[in-house]
Amino acid sequence: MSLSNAIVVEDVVKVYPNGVRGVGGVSFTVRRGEIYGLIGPNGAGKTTVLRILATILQPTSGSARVFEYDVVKRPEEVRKIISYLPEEAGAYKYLSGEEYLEFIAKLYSSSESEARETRELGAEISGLGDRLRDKVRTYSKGMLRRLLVARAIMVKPKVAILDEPTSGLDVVNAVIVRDIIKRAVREWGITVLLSSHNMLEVEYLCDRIAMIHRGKIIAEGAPKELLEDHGVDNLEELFVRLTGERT
Amino acid sequence: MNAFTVFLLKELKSIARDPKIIIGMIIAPIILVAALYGFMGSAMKQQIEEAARASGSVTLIDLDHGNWTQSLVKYLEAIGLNVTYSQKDAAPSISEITELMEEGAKILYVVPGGFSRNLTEMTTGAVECYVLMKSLSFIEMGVVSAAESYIKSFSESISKSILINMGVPESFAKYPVLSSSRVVLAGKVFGSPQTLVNLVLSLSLVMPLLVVMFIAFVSQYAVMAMAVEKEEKMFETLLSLPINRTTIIAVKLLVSIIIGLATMGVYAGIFMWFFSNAVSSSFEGSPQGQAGISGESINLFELVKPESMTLILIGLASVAIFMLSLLMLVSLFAEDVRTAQTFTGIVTFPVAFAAYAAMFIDIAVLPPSATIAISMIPVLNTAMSIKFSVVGDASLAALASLSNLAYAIVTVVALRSIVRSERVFVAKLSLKPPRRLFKKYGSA
Repeated sequence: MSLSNAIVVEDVVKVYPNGVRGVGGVSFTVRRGEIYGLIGPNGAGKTTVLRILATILQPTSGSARVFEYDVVKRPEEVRKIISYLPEEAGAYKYLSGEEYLEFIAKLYSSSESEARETRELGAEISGLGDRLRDKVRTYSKGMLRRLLVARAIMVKPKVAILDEPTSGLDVVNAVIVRDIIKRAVREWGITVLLSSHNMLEVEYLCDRIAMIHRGKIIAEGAPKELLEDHGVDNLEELFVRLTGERT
Repeated sequence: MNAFTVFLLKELKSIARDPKIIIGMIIAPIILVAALYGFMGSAMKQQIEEAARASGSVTLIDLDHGNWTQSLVKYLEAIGLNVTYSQKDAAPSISEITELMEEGAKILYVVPGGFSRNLTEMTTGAVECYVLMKSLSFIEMGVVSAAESYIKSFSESISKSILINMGVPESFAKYPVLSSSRVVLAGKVFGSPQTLVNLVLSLSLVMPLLVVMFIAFVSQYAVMAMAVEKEEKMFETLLSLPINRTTIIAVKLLVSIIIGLATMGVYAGIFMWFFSNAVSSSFEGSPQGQAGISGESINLFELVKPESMTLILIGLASVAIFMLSLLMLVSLFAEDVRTAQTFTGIVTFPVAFAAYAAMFIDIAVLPPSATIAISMIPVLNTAMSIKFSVVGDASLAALASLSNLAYAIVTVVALRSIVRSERVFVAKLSLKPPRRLFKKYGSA
């Protein structure tokens, strides 16, 4: 594994206990400090790949490594250096936003002062101000997502794994979340692996992307290069051309 | 601060603020129990006072007009009763008796004609005893006993007086034959059979009751413990955090135990208050208050060796952990809180059943294979372990405790194994119709 690689996924296959094939032989590499996007329609297998990298699921075959740690053999080590934001994530509704950030910060910190700094950074990233003192259950969907993205970034993980980070958000909140992701890479050198079915967003946000379809990668590269290589105007057009489907 | 403490504090904070848990598990039960005990206390106090009043007064209708009837009246007054005396020449009708009792004392004695003559001639005399009953309660049954005991006591005093007048020593006149009961059990002799049986029965009842109460109190929390993480959509995140998954389970188990013990403490407090104030104060004013259980006290450790008691306590703790782990397993696979709660009964109902089945099992008549099987059935064996220890079958008592310990270890290990694998995320117990993970592109 090259030292410049943050994530290496090799021929990963995942078949669920009920026989459903989640992914069928996916391989890709994410370089350090880049934003890498897995794009594809709902059910393409993006979330399965992210869950495998987040050590929640185990691949049926193939291997996946995060900063040289194998996700199956060294899951505890992987969990220390990643921060995973599921698509349908929530937070403890009877805690305040501040207490939730503090809870997460303490799990990643070795001292009280470090935890306090982490929590303060989270509060700043979220931009929720005084609303952080309110219970999470009073938050709107946009506020909750900003809190969760801040939670994922404030611990300065080596790799942030974000599943559909802007899904279901209004334009303003989506822009705020995208800015947080850009800032994470720029200021703290965090490697970001995200998934999205919003291909225009990915085109704007990601350094490189992989198009995933029916559990397999059908195209990979920098968005601009892919568009030029295939002579299309945007990634949606490219996806339709490659799959022969109208999505 | 380590991950265990951080997660424990988070858990306690969430619980303390969750109105479902606070109201459902603490406030509502406390109000219900306090209201129940309050009602019971008030009702019991009223009944005891009524019983004291009723058994403290008697009406006596004298058809005899003889000296022995006067002796009876004096005797009743001497033991502290308020006697309403009336002489009549004809036996009262039922309606007259009812009317008299409705207006006055609930106990009515009718001394028939010839009563004194019979006693003087040393022929048995008879007194008709009537007790007015309205509610058929235990307290009214006590009044019946009191009514009979007054006459019996008078009868004994007559016998004693006659014998003493004949020169018989008082002690002999009272009890010419005394019995001294002994029980031989497991190679030991015990002096008070009733006390021994009461002690063993109450321990056999208390042991499973403790488990049943504990499980009843913690089941709602334990079964929701992981399901609530799913409902709050924190489960997936939690599995990816740098916290040992065994720690998560350990914290959830610990919080279950804390809740169980705290709730039991609150209930025990209400119970003790109830008996120390509401009930005991009522007994103080009762003329029948002296009617208690008497007998030699038996030291528990005379019955059960300290090492056996240690094993029993280990078994008790083990069965509680075993049950909690089972509930937690249900919680792990339940997709939401509703599903988890629905499955609670599957775990808790057999506990209550097993706990009280022990009361109906006679180990003396069972073949060895059956007793061995019983000693390995969780909860049931906890209830039986005291009996096993008392009858001196240390091997069965040990088997009961150790099998519970084994079940606890197996379920905790299973829990740990599941929580460390992807099964914790993939396996589901749901009341909702199954849905495909990948609606569009997934292929079987």
